[in-house]
Amino acid sequence: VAQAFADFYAAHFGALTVQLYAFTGDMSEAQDVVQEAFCRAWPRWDRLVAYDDPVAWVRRVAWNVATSRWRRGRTALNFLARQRPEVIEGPGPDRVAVTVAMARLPVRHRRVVALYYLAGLTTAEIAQECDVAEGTVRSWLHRARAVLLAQLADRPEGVTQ
Amino acid sequence: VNHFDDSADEVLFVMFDEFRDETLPTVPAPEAASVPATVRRRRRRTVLVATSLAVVLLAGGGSYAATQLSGARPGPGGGPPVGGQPGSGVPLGSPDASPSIPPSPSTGTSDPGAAPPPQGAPTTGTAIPRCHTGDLTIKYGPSNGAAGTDYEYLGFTNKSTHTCRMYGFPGMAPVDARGKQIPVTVARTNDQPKTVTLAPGQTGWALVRWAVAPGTYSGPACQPGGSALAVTPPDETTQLTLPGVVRVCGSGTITTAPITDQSPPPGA
Repeated sequence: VAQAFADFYAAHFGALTVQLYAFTGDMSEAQDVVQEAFCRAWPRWDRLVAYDDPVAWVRRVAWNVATSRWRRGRTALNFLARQRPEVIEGPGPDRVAVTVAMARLPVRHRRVVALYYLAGLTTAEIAQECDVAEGTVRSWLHRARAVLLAQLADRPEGVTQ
Repeated sequence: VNHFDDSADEVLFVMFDEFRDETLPTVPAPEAASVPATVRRRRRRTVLVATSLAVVLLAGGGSYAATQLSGARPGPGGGPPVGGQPGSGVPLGSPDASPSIPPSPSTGTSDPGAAPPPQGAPTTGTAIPRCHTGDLTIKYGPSNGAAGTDYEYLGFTNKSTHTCRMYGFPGMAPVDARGKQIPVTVARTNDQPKTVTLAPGQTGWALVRWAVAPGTYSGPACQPGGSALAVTPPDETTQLTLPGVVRVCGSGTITTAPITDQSPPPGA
């Protein structure tokens, strides 16, 4: 059982961390949140393995943890620091650009974007995971796309903002 | 489905693919050996969560109807206490303690005789009185809610001027704004209760959990939301009221661990 859980952990830790990194913009925060989610999965692993998609459970937990930390302002402060121009001009332009653009999205839009583009969920699956109507998911995605594209097409202006 | 979304999708999928490819190698891979160690460490911190879930979900015993809000000491199916003294070696709180029994949290939903008569103290040779409802105030601990399941710690603080003791499981039910109970099933974990001695000002804790999100994994919808939780201390017949919305989803079950002296972990 422990081995199965360790395999599950090893198989999904990286991908989930990337998704949460897109959400939080902070790698160590993302790792911490995903770690926490797996820790919560372990005591109920016997039950989780019976689910169609145990990863979805872990991802939901990770998101809830990240969101509640967000609400408490810890991550918000990190974001403010990261939005300074010199960070945007630093190495790894794509990666930084994505997290900066994501940071400008409302939290729920950001989650939908990460689930759609990084976790590879369909809009129907996202609707289920976020407990909203599928039409709402499409609408959030539509608005988020517009914001993301404008951000990414407009990087220099983003710097001076 | 419009043109903007399609072309934006192409651009963004490419961009996020690059983002993933660029980011993934920078995720420090947890060493295999560190995984169980980490889990174990964190698990110890939340040992109540672990034991209550493992036991409740697998054994599923110890359910009783909560409509009478009984706070109770342990016994099969919520019945009278059976040898509650520590060291008896009998798993209390459930007649079917085998972990191989599938979840059946609602099989014991009617057990109107759940409240045992208050009897002698489970500890030996103590003159410390039981904590009565009037001796206590109640509060929530730091919230641990996650993923459609809410964990809450109920803190019972001794507000009296004398030391008192608590032993067993609280009873509880959500109540609406007019004080009317919303029927739920209260299940108990198989955790062995221990006598908790509370000096004035000290707090004992019970971990409770219920589903707060509907339909996450094909389950029944939610009960009507209560505006407060009415809680009966063990062996008491009157309630403490804990304000705050309580909405029980899923199978309509609140699971409670016995009261312990273990403080809840800080909220996540």
